Amino acid sequence: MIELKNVNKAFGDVQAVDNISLTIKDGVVMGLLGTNGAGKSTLLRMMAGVLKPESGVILVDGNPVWDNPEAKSQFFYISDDQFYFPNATPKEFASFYKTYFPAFDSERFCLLIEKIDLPMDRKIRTFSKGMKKQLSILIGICAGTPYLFCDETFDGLDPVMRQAIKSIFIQEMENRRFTPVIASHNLRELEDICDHIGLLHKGGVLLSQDLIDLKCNLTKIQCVLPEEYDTRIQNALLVLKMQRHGKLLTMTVRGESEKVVAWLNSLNPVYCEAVPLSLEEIFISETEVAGYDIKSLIC
Amino acid sequence: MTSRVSFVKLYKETLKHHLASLLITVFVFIVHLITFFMNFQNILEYTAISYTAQYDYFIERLTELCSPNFNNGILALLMAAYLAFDYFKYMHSRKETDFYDSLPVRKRDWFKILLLCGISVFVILCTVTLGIELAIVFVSGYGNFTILQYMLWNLLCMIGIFLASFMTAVLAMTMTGHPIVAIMGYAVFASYMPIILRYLYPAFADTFFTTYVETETGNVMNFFSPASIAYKLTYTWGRIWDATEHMKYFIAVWIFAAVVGVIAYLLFLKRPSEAAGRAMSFEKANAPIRVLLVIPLALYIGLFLHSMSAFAHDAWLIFGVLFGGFIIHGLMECIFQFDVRALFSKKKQLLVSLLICYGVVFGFQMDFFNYDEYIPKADEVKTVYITSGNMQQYTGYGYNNSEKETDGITGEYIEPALEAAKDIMAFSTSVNWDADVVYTDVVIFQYELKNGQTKYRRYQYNVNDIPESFDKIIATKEYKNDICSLYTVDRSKINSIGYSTGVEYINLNLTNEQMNLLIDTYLEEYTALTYTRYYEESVILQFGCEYSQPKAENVDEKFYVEEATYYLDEYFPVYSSFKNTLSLLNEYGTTTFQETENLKVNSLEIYDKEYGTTMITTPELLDALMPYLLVSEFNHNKYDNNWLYGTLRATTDNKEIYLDICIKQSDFENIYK
Repeated sequence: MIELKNVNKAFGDVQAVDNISLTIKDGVVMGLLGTNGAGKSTLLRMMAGVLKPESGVILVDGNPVWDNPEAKSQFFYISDDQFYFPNATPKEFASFYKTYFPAFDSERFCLLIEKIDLPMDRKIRTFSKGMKKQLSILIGICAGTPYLFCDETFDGLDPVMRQAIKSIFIQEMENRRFTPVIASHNLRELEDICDHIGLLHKGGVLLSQDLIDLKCNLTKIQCVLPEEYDTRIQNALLVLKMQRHGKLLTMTVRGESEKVVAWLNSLNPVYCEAVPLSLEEIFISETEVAGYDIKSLIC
Repeated sequence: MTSRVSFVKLYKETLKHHLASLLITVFVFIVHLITFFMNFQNILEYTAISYTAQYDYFIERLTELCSPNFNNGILALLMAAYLAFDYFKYMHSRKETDFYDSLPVRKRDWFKILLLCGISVFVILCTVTLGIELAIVFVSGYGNFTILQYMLWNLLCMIGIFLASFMTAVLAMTMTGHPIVAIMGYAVFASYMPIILRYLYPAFADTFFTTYVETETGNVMNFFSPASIAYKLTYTWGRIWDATEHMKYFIAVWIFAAVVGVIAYLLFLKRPSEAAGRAMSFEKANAPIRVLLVIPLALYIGLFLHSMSAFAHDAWLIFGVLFGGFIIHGLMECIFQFDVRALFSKKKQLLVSLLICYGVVFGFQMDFFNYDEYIPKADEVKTVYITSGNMQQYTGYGYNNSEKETDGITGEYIEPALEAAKDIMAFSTSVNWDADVVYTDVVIFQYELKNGQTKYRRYQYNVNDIPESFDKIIATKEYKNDICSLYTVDRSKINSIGYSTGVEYINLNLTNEQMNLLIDTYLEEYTALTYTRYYEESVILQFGCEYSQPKAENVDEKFYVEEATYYLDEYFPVYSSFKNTLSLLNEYGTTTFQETENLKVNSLEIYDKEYGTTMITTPELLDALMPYLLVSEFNHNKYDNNWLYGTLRATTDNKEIYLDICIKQSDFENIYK
């Protein structure tokens, strides 16, 4: 488990991370979502022990991460612009990491690299941006650490590769203790990989929740009911958002979809249906409740 | 990660990823080896050409080749900076910082690994190279214990310099976040103390204090820079490197490396990783760094404009400080922020720096500490040394007594010496040097105080108006003893005595009694010579003592070659008022050059600033002028407008000679007209 307790970090006058407290449980794919400058990378760099928090503490399996090899050996960090030695090949690079991460699984690395068709003996500097990202993810997976921190690593990967990586993640999570933490500004890229989402904005955490809970707890309803029912609906249900276009009422309601629809049907609407919510809509609803104009925050 | 196996593994892995610097270092040492071999061959070739040309000279050159030298010092200095930059450059890239700092290695271990890699590359290759060079010398049959000793000194000096420079470069890298700024930082560390600060006080004191004398007192600054320590440790001024002479710098280089290494280590641990890409790592240090650089550099710029201007010096100085302060402060802020718009920022700091600068300027101009009026109290003084360039130049201290330290003026003579200093100072500080036209000379007073301090003061005085008190102290044996070897010379070492007329040198065959009488008489009259008389009188001739060169000691008999005996000469001026000396010389057969027999004067050229050159060939005129001519080589004190200079062309013993002469203008005009 990774725990962040009241973590702060400022760069000059800019408060990059503002008193963040967050818990990342084992066995989930954690997504850190936020716009550019939201503090995702700073948070991840602090979690990776690159930056020292000005206050607060970051614990990896109970060990403070700052300048602590024991804690640092529990994760592998892939930065948004990963460094590769000039002229190194994937084979040499893997050998380098084997020195630092004794649990590095060289066999699996060879297997995976072959699977996704990356040349083992070609210089990494001749790789495309996407190939480099694939390589760093594979190295991260094979490092054998319980945690993998990826900063914008999935940006630029094609959907097929994203799915492939996702399946490798699942495999790893089934076979061993493995918790990837992925930071991205792209909601759609995280949607099909992550189990848990933390939304960052201006250095703070707006929300942190399991994706499934988010989806289950919110229901989007479209129904046709006269206007005089509006007040009654608002009093009876936890309505986050309500829009009326003539007789068509569209609302986002907190609660189980079936129960909400059953209650609305008791009002004898002309039409009533629960519509699936996209992750984007969930975030918009949740954050608007918190007073944020989320549409301008996420893609 | 701290276990031995892991450390070795990480060390090897790190080395592997700095292959380029390793190869460059190998290449540099191969070049070193080639150069050594070539020089060695040249030395061998030299001895083959001229076997008799002293085998010890060959040994000297060979020793020179194997001993610590400036080239090796520079090599170690530069290689250290390069390797430190290569191994620690990752700190300046966010990409690499993220990569390395996320690895499960403690910061302190990482520092040790990088340090060890950088140092070991140089030390191992340097040791191997010098080892091969030593082997070459031994295999060639010229090796001995001395060569081995020098080679070891060479290695230790190179490693010491390398470490000092390496640690400085690491410190520069740690304190900055950008390679260019790091290079500038290294340059500042290397030059700040021994150049920027070292010459600031002398530059200002020389400008504003009329009595200032530049001394070596600022040499302590040389201990605060790897470059100056390297220079002092390895530069030999053409002599063989001497361990005793350089020992303090040898110790200093290791202490410097250790101290800077500890500072670099502590800062490395504290260095924030986010500094990568910025100019400076520790923002809190920016203000003191800026102020420490702005103040001296602004002062230098002010002083430069002051010295460049022909008038309104003070206005240019004030403007220069303002302009320099603004520019340096702005430039530094532009570098710190990587933004040219920062030129006008941090105005309060600029103001503080400028106020300090003006305080310094004002302090020097007003002479707050009464520098120019300083005369120590008699009871504070242990010894006074008086140095007058002119007088000492022509009564020079003998080779024969070169080992002897000067005694200075002590005891009862201290008070008169201080009195003389006071009178000369009164003149020196009251004269308007720009307006008053006077013929001046310079005298330096060195006060050795009882508290161990040494103070120097330089006074300028009018040669036509020398204070009586100064004349008095000059006309003492206490003063003259330090400037004339005849007082203390072992007379038994005098091989012969002769005299020079300017035209020829003639030996005198004197008995010991005659020699003693001549020397005693000369010294009696020389002791009584005052400064006033020194300027007023003319040197008629010089008498000289010839000493046998002392036999060299501690020379390996195997290489020692008995050469023909060397002689050293010393000359002593005989002034026109030295009647007794002249009378004795006359008795022993001396003639002045005007009376030199067999001298046939052909022509005389006299140079006059106003009338140009006058060529005289008329025999009658030449004969009339001869008694008034003085050898100008003996009479350098005749430099005012009352004297004319010229060249005499004469024939003696069928040889044509040219002689520089001088003549009093009034004498010349009287006869010529």
